[in-house]
Amino acid sequence: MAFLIDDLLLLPFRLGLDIAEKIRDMAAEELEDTPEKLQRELLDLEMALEIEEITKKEYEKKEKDILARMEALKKEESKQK
Amino acid sequence: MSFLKNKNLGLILFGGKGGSGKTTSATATALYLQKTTKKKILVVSTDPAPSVGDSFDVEIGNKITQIKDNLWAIEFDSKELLEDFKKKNLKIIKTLVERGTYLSREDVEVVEGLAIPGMDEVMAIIKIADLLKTKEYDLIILDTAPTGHTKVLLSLPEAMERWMGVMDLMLAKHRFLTRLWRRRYSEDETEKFLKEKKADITEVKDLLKSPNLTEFVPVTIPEPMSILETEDLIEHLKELEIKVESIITNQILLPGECQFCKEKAKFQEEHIEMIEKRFKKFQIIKMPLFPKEIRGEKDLLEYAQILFGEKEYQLSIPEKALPKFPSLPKAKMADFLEKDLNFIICGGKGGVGKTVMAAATAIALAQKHKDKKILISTTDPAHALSNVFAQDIPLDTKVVPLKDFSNLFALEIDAQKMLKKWQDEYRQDIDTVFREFIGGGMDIAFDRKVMEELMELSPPGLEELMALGKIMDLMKEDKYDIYVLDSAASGHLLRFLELPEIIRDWLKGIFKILLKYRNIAGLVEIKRKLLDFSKDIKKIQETLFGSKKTEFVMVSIAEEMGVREMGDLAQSLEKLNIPYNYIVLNRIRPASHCKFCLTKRESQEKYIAKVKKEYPKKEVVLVPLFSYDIRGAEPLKELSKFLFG
Repeated sequence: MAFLIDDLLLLPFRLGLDIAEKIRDMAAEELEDTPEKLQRELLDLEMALEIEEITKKEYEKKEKDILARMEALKKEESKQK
Repeated sequence: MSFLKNKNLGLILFGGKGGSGKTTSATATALYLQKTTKKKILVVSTDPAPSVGDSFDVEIGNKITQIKDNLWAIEFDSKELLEDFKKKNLKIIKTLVERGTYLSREDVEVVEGLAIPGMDEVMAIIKIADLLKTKEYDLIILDTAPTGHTKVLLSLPEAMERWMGVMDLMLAKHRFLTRLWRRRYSEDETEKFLKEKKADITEVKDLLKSPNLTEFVPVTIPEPMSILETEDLIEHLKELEIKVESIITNQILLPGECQFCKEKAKFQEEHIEMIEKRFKKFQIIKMPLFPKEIRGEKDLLEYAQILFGEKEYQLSIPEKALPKFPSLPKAKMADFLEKDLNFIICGGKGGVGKTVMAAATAIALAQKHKDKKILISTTDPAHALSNVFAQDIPLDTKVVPLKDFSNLFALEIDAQKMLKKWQDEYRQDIDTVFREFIGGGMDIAFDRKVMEELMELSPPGLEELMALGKIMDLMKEDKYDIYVLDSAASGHLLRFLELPEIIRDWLKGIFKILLKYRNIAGLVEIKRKLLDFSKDIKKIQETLFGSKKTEFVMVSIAEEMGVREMGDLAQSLEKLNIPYNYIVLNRIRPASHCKFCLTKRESQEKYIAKVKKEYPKKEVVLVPLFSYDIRGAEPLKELSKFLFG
């Protein structure tokens, strides 16, 4: 609940801070798949669906793709171990 | 010196519980002063369901309308006021947001079209400030919304001053940076705007506190709920240093001729004594209950003459044969209990008996479904549940079980307390975030100050936001099977019902902005939270709107204002897709032989017929006026038996 005012009201500021922080880290951003990156993509996809930027069908297709990449990543990791 | 004699007053406010006669007292006072003084008078209604026009019997709306020489009236429509305000100031506000936050111009465009909850009162204060500035009127008479929201309204000038302080702080960074680059700083349009608005609001605040110029006149009726609400109101006014001198005690019965009138008058006597005792510091102005509705100039002037002590009240009922009326048919609401409902909302005009109906419904459900847990709560900041159940239900964030029942619970939401809890929880979070950023320089120091100040503010629409949030939390916990909501008077109920959509719009706006930064790492936690939140809101929308799980119970009285407000509410419910099948017309007079009762009943019958004709598909349930108060488990059980068989 608290969240209601918290993130809505303060979002502009939190957003600002987060972005500042992330821009700083951006240089280090990898182009390769990482669990974090894939999770982010998943969230962005969900948001795109929420604002109807993509259809449910497109969403499902892309979600499948991301999940497959996650699976591949896991396999890769276990192989390395 | 009270408003009856004080010629210096520039602002008179009338307020109290719904149905106590605020509007009648306000419009009658205006007409009387128009006749007896040379003042230029403006009557302003800040009620989202205004009835000043009804009272004058003139079409008014959101424009200043001349009623007579030197007398004008306006019914604020907050949506229109906001549009006007935006039209005039949008550019400056955008600059403010852009400079004060990290949002880019483009981002600001995304959020610009979004509605802000709770703007009704904010816009009302700004408009009042504008009206004062014109100095066109010698006297402004304010007809306020029911108590809860009027408390919010009157606390606003002080809150708004603080908001503007924070906005100024947001600009401080910009000032600092500009000075850093250009080595000098000159005030621009945005700063001027802020300063000017702040001065305007301060003027409203000062006027409210000036005992020579301003008086608040509470209007009450000799009924416990109204008395309690008045007490609460007076307490609040004292905190705000707004002067109260006299209290209008309205709708006093003359000793009647029939058994019912006699009983009712006897009950009233106790309450009048209570009023005299509790409000002994104030002048009590007693006004009678008239046998007919008071509408139009002639009626209002008669009311005013009695109010100003010019005339003694004399009951005059025209001599004519009055028809006989049948006794009330049995209420047919038994089906209601068979439905598989999740959410029941009782709503209608102020003072028609929403809380009592909600309580009786909750009791019927609790008795019918012993295996289910029922929660009764309220979105009305006036908090009447304690009174109707005759049990202390503390203003809190916790649910309390109701004695006399094993599966019935009540919650009176304390919005301020919820906010406080949140502030305490998050203050630390914010502290941590900033500590991590120390070394970020001047930029961050400014932000920190802004954040700290921002934390202290209560957002507009707080009451509704908190009520919605709490209900969402409870639904998530899945502790209760049926929720019965006693809502605020119709205008504010709509505001509450529109809230989920507004929040969803905001979330969509935020998602749009966030997606622009999709390639930037991080923000994961915030995105996750927002998405969850969006889903929760969607769930509540699915439960509330267009669902078989929710039903609205329309409560009204058989009077012009009651029926008219019901029409507006019914339209909005259609739009929101909230089903309702029952219309409860409350407080129908008994068909006794007494002239007073019959005259009242005759007028009620007219409206009963009208409602039946206009809503042919709805079940119209007639509930009698009781001679005693419905308070505590036993009388409530009686009522619930009457309604649900």
